[in-house]
Amino acid sequence: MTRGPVAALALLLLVAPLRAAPEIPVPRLTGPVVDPAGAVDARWEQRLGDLSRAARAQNGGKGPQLQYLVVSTLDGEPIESFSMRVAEAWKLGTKGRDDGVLLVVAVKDRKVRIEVGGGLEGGLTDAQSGRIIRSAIVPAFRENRYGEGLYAAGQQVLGALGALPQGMSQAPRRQAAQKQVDIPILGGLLGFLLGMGAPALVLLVIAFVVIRAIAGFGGRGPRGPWGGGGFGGGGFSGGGGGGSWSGGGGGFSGGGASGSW
Amino acid sequence: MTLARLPLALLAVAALAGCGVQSIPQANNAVAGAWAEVENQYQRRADLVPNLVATVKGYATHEQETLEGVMAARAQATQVKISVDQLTPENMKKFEQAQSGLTQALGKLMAVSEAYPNLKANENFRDLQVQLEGTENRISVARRRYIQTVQEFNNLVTVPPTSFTNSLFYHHAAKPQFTATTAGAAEAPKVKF
Repeated sequence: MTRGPVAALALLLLVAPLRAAPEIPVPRLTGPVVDPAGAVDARWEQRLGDLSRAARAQNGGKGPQLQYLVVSTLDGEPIESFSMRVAEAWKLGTKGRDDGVLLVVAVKDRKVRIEVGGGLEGGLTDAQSGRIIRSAIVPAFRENRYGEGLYAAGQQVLGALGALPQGMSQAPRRQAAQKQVDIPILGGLLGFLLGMGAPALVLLVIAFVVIRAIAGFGGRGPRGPWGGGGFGGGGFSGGGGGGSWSGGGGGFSGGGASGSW
Repeated sequence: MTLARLPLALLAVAALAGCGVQSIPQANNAVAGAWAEVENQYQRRADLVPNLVATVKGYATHEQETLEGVMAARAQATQVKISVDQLTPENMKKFEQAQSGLTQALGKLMAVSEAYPNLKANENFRDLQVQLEGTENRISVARRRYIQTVQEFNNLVTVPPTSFTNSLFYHHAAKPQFTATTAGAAEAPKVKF
């Protein structure tokens, strides 16, 4: 592990002036998590996406743009060079604020890089990026826990920038538990309504029938509005997350850190 | 007769507007900006050196010569400063020689530090190592951007029709590029991992 940075530096010193022609193409920016390598499972991909979108949504959509890219291999290109090509193509962050952060992983090469936008270099220094790689990414990646490592790294990146969205400071497992609290609340609400006695119940049934008639619930079968799994599971986590995702013209000047595991 | 020539003169002025009257100064400014960024990043590296040397000194007690070499190379590198008007091939060469001297001295320093496990485990040294890497990366990005902007500028001042405008009004010379070869670049480097 300690040799990695030295090797990378030596390589950088040798290769930088002789930069080879671009080899692998820049993938399409389809969302906050671009994973052509398929190393992050769907659950973690959802969580990483939620974290990114929540961070970006701050300050009226002008929060820092955290982007994940997981490729299989770099085909021999230094990760600094590939990462910069991607950052320049995607233009992450807002124009003028240059507040994009790109987390690049090359799974087979066991290389990772945090590319920091020009406007964030004061808040997220190279040294901090390096520490995040060493403390959050390397230990998790060694055990093939890619999603978890990337999530922790994203949290620390946003934390360093003072842009960690509220309620996202804990590990996702505890968050999932918090979400389930919503269900007893709904149950309590239902109980309260029932406790109000027959008149309320009658009103409720009438309201239900009316809503059914208006909204055309019939297609969903006999399931009542409070029955079944309608409120359980992942219903809340999606948050209609399919909104558009694109760079905003942010610039990069090569800040950040690289590492390997 | 003179009346007949007036539209012709107007036409010439209109044509000039698209012939570099604006774009040559703009490109010149872009080069100035790109060069400032190059110098800025080299300066950033020079600023890092005293800290790095002080940290290594605490652990690597037998590397006095290497450490002195780094400080000497730093002193030389920080002496060569070139404003954008002074960018000539000769000055550029001086700048590059001074900077590559520091590059090599730092490379040697990082190589000898491999022999000191306590140094490599030191969190402060790791931070400095990452910062040095980051700075080298920024330098290569800044150089690449300088190369691009100079290419655009040189096209404007040397390729017609904008080159006519340049020789009429601006008289800019083409600006020098980085030569990309450093001393000893032809030899296969020995890196001990």
